[in-house]
Amino acid sequence: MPWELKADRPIYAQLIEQIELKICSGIYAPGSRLPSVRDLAREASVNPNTMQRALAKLEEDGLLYSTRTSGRFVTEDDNVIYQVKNKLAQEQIQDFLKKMKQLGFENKEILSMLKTMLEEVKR
Amino acid sequence: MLAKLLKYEFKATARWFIPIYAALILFALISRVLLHNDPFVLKEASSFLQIAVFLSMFIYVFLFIGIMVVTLVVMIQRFYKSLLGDEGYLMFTLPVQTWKHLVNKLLIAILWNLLSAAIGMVSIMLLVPAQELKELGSLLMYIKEYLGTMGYFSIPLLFLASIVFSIVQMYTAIALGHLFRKHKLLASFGMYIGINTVSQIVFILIILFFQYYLTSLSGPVPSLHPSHINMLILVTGIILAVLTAVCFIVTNIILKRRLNLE
Amino acid sequence: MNTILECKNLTKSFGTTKALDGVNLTIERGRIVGLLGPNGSGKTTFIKICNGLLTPTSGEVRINGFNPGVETKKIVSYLPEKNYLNDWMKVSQIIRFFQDFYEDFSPEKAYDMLKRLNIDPNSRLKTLSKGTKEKVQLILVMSRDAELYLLDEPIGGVDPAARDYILDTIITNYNENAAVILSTHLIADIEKVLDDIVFLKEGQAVLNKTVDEIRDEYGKSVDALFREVFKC
Repeated sequence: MPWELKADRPIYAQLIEQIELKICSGIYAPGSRLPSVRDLAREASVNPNTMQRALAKLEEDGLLYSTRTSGRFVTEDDNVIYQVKNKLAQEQIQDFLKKMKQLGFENKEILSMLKTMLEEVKR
Repeated sequence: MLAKLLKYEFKATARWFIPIYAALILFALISRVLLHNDPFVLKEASSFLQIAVFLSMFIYVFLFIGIMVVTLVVMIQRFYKSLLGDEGYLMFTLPVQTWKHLVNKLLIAILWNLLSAAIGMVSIMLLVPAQELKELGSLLMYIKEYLGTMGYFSIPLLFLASIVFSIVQMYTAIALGHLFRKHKLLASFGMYIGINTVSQIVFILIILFFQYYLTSLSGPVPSLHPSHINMLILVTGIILAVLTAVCFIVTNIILKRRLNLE
Repeated sequence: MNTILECKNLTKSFGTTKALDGVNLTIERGRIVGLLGPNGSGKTTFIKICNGLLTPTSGEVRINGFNPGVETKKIVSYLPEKNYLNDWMKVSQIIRFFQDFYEDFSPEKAYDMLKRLNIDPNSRLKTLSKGTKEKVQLILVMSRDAELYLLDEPIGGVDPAARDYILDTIITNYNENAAVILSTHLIADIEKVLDDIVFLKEGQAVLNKTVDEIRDEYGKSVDALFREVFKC
């Protein structure tokens, strides 16, 4: 999954989101080892200091942990990951609802549209 | 560091000189062979031989003059373009003191000056039949008569000192010209004439003073004693050395504290 | 000492024009700094003074505590905007040259980068295209383990693929002990790689913040802000 960084928002915040996404979607599996700061920075084409900042924040939040010798790892605590998944999901839904409201849809309509589309996806 | 600079400077310049030196020697030899040791035979020789000799000599003279021109041009280019032009960006960012750059250019310039002179003389000796070279022998005797055996050393040394000074003069002129924002080349030219004039005046003044000093010692019209001439040579040498040092210091200061590469 | 470069009241005049007008700047080690500004804003002048290629009219620059001189040249790696290599050498010879004069130069790194960019070390500099020569110059600069890298328009004349490679090299080369100052007017390409931004306008440093601070405060990219500040 390529790194998607928009131009008008702080990079550090976007990096945090992108890594959270990668963890939640399993690209960085629980317990797996993360590439070095430098390699991540190269991948994302960002400044290593900025990447370091983002990783430090994620460590603070408990999504990552680092050992002195072996590097950085994704947490194995499913709970923590679940929380983040939840948080991201809620953000997505809030965004979605806001846009639907902007288009003028009511709650009932939104719900039934969702149901129909989900059925179609199943097929 | 200086040794490394010298190595690269030599490599950069040798590519100009080696071929032309070789060509000069070649055509000296060719001309000599064609002339068959006796130029007067030419009048009876075939017209083909005449043309060949003429061509060969023409090329030889052309190369001879060419070497003098190339020596001068390379000397100036290695300072003007290579140090104060685009390549200066490479040179002046090296962790090397400024004076080492100066000494580097100077030593290699001296080298090529001497080599060019030497190759020139060798080519003449190759070209000219042996009898003519006896003239050289009598020249050496002449020196001994008027200057004593000291003359064998003092004349070459003076020669060397004047070459060094003439080179450093040019560097100083170019460096002074570099101080101008516009028309640097023109300014350098003007500076060169200025320095030349000033140094000539200095020379004349000191020599006159020296003569006055001599006459006050031994009465009017001093005889040309070898020791007097040697003294004169010594004084001239010292003046050259001092002027060279002054020019060197000025150039160094300019390049160190007033560098403004475009 | 964490400060690698300190600039106090730096002024440089060319005749009546002031290229730099009282610039005050402090650069810390481990930062990648973008020196941004339109053409003629004094970026190249600033960098040349740091290298000792120009003498200031007033004020001073200190690199690791020293004025530009032999001590600073040992630890500063400079990429000029122009082509400055002597034409007659082969690539392998200029590498040898750098190796001879710079203790912190790594020929292995240089050859590795040459290989990656498909440049034949045996080719004469004279025969290379302008873009390739620029790549060679960049390789020479980045193969040094310097404490301050001064890159003047490193991505200006290169194709987009090479541009990516250059940014990649800057990121890879990063070490906390060294600082990188790069001047450019191609901001969009390079923004994400920078820590700090210094805007130079008419010889003065008008903005000095980090990229994220700018994006936070102004709600737009540095590139967008730049276009606003320097609108014609």
